[in-house]
Amino acid sequence: MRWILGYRFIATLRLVILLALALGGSPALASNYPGGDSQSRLLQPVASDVQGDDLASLLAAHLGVPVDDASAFLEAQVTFSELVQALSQDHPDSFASSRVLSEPFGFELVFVGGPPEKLPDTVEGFPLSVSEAGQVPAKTLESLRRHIYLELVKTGRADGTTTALDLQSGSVLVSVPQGLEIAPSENLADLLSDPRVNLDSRGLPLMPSMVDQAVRGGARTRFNGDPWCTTAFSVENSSGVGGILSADHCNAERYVHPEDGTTLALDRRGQHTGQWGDVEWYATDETEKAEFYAGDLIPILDVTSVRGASGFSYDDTIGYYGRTSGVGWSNVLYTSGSCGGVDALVIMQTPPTQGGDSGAPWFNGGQAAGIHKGLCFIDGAYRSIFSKAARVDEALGVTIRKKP
Amino acid sequence: MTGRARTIVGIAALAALIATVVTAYFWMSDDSPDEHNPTRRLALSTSNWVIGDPQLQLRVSGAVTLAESGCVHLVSPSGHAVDLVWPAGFTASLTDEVLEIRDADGEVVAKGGATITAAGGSFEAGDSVEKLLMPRIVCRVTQDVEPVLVLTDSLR
Repeated sequence: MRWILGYRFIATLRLVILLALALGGSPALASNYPGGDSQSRLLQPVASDVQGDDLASLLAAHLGVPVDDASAFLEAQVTFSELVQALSQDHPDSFASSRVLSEPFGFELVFVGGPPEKLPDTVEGFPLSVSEAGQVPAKTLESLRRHIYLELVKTGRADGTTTALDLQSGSVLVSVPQGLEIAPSENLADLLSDPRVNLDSRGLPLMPSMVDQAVRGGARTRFNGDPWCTTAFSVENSSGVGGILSADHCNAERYVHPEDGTTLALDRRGQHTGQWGDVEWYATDETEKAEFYAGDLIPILDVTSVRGASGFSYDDTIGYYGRTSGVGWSNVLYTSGSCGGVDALVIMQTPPTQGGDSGAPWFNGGQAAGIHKGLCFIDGAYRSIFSKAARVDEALGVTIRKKP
Repeated sequence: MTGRARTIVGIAALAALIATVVTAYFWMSDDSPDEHNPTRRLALSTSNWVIGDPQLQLRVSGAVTLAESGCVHLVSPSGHAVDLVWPAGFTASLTDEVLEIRDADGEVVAKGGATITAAGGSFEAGDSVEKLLMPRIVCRVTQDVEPVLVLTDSLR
């Protein structure tokens, strides 16, 4: 059983998925692609669609669609995220959930009591469906989830628990290890008895304590010689001092220039692990550009926008570039969550990341989405998690540098 | 001294000798390799991380090495010594002069000289996450390096 949950299993699962992708992509998705010839597409080797290791090529290979279509859909997802962010801010009492659809490509918005304003029928050409099936506004659920998280922290129960905002079912998932006393305070007991809380106590049992050149995102860092993490995005504080982001648990000492392997000292200016994620930033003696490495075979990307904290949707496709596993991607499972006492996280559906990817950029095109943290065990499996890029201001007092 | 007194002193001396021999026997068999028990337990820093807890993804790689001090550490490809804090229940022992790291189930997950690659996080004293992982540092080789590397990886 331990093997099933272990790293080797994840590596094996990853290999099986990669082999499956290499052998045939996803016929079910391909056959539903609007306007596509699913039969002929199935007969074509998927590898012929792969023109690089950028996110669009990877997604195209997975879905069995032309790279241009995948690229257009990814760009539409960025536009959709801006719409979702705006709606959640402007209409917090009615916005319920959002979803990215791939069968066929499209988008979905759900409101409580109907949409508050006239919305377009499409997002960059892809259909947008709007319904009023929502039972509770997303803001109300997120407020409940956040309240539970803070109460878990206050009562010392945050370490072994995970919280997640499940907008698809209109509930807050609270996953606790078997045997953990989950309601040590009256407040927490009241919060957890809310009918919108889905309490999952199938977590693993708690173990008793035993005696026991320019600087850019997507580059490698070193600590004490060799262990490494990855940088995320360039930032600056209110005084205009620039720096580079990574994960707080990296404690990096040197930045490694990908071009020639030369290194540069990192001067840590701020760190945060807690309610706003797991992030830290370092000043350097070089210029930190609003750019990041996004793959081994593609050009450096400019950071053009930052995904809003409420701008994530279920099934969003988000890519990453880590210095161990390279470029990869996953889809959003939970748009907001906490894990191991750390909040302001996004929980993905799969665990494609590996040791050495901590601090890596999560992105869609030039839009910065997050800073990689690691894996979280929830819903019976390890899944990749990242700190929301939009929360680095609260966490560190810095903003992510962008190019106009 | 009377004959009776000499007898009492003799018995006391014999009892002290037996107690010394017995104590020495158990002391040696507990900590030192000998023909009856060739395994010697070594000090190993551990945390309370177990499978199912969040996994941090800093990458660490190197050869598992026993320092002259008796502490187990990792020697990275560039030759740096790295102090590791192993997951809960991990133990280290020297069996027939071979260093073995075992997990909480008693299975050997690493041997002396073998190169391992694992995931974890780097922390300094006072870090909030350090409290969550509860590292118990019992043996250090690199005293001059402040942070410790806490493995969040089962190595299986």
